[in-house]
This record gives sequence, structure tokens and C-alpha cells, in this order.
Amino acid sequence: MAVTNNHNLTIALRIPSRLELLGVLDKVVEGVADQMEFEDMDRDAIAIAVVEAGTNAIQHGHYTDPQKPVDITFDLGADQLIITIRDEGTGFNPDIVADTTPPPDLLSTRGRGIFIMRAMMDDVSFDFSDGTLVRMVKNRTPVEKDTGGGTA
Amino acid sequence: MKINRDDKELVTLLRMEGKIMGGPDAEAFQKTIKDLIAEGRKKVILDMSKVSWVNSTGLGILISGHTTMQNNGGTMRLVGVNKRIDQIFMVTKLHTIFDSYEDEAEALAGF
Repeated sequence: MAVTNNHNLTIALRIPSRLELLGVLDKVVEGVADQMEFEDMDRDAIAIAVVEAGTNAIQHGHYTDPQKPVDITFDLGADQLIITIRDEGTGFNPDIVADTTPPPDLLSTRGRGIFIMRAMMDDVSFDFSDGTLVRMVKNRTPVEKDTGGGTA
Repeated sequence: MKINRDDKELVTLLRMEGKIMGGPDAEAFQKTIKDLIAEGRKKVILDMSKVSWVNSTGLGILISGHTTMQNNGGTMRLVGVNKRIDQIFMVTKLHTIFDSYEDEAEALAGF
């Protein structure tokens, strides 16, 4: 049964900086995406982006120090899902994030995280004023409803 | 991530299980690949059917394995890649370097 009104619903989560807990985060994303009735491909895209942002926070923001928490929020709107992921890291310059798809860099073993997040979400922005905050937006594609009527 | 090695005549099947996401996964996988090369086993099929997801660090692990094999005259083929992982391969264009097959029989054919 679908929940018809998700307006102003916020879900907050805090996890220690341990890579294996990305699996927990992934399950929460799955539940949130199901709640909002995202299509399968979009649900996967959201999960991929959140896992990437979580990986960055744990590995680069906190150097996998389990004492440092990563805070995640999900804001479930009528037509869009807004996700924030905050760590205590000093940040980075998002403008110099590489595109590793051209052949010379295709076999690079690093540097794809931000590129993947941007490819999977409708909007990705960063705020480094208090640690590192990643804000990601996924718009929900309206599902065409079968009215069952047809033309007269 | 778990790796279960299964040697079949000239081809080695590595059955992967779990999530490929860095940390100790990288070392374990790289050691497995180097062991295979040292033993002269240079035809490898990576069974991904029990891998639920891969992050960008995990992609680096797979690329490293592919490159190490290739640099030593070997070949690594993938089977059982799910839709979610395939979506990452497409976006990153890694589908152009990984030889991916539907199933083990298809990957074994002509190997």
C-alpha cells in the first residue's frame, strides 16, 4: 500500500565512520525510495549516489575513524527527495573533480566518486562552512496513471 | 567481500560475494590476482552474481585486477553483473574495458 502524503517528512540517521555500515545506509535508502515510489532505476541511482557520498565522508572526511559520526538526512517532499550527508572533514575543491571517462583516465583506480554522484542525481552541491556537507536532490518522475477510461 | 576460488582446467573462476567497497577488500583481491599470475593461471572469470553493489573504491579494485592481469598477458572476464552495477559501469564508461557476459557458460566459450 502506498503512503499518499510524504510532505515535510524528514528522516535523520547518524552512523560511525565504518565502511561496512554503508550497507545499513543502503538499506535505508532503499526504504526511503520505496516510500516515495521511485522507479527501480532511480532507486538504484539514489542508492549509488548516497553510498558514494558516504564513502567520501568515511574515507576522505574522517579517514575511517569510527569515533567520528556521519550525519545523514532524507527530506521526503511531494516531488523530490533531498539528501544531506555531513562529515567533519575540511572539504575539497569540487570544481577540480576529474571526469575519468576519457581514455587516458579510464583506467585510473581513483577519483570517480563525485562524478558518479553528479551523474546519478538531479543536483549535487557542497557547503564547506562547517565540515563538509553534500546536498543531493532527486526529482520524482510522475508516474502516468491508467484512468481505465479510454476515449469515448 | 568474500572470494571463493574455483580452478577449472585453464580457467579460474573467482566467485565474489557481498559488497566491493574498499578497505581490506582491495588487498585480498589484489593478492588473489597476483597469486594466480604467479601460478601461471591467466584466464580468470569473475562471478559477480552474488555481489549486491560496488562503490567507486570497489571500481578501483576491479580496474586494478583487470590492469594487473592485462599487464601480465592475462584476461579477466565478468559474469552476473546486476543492473545496479551495470548502471555504474555505463556512467563511468567502464563497460568499454570490462568484458562482461551473461553467465559462466558464455564467458567460458572461446576462452
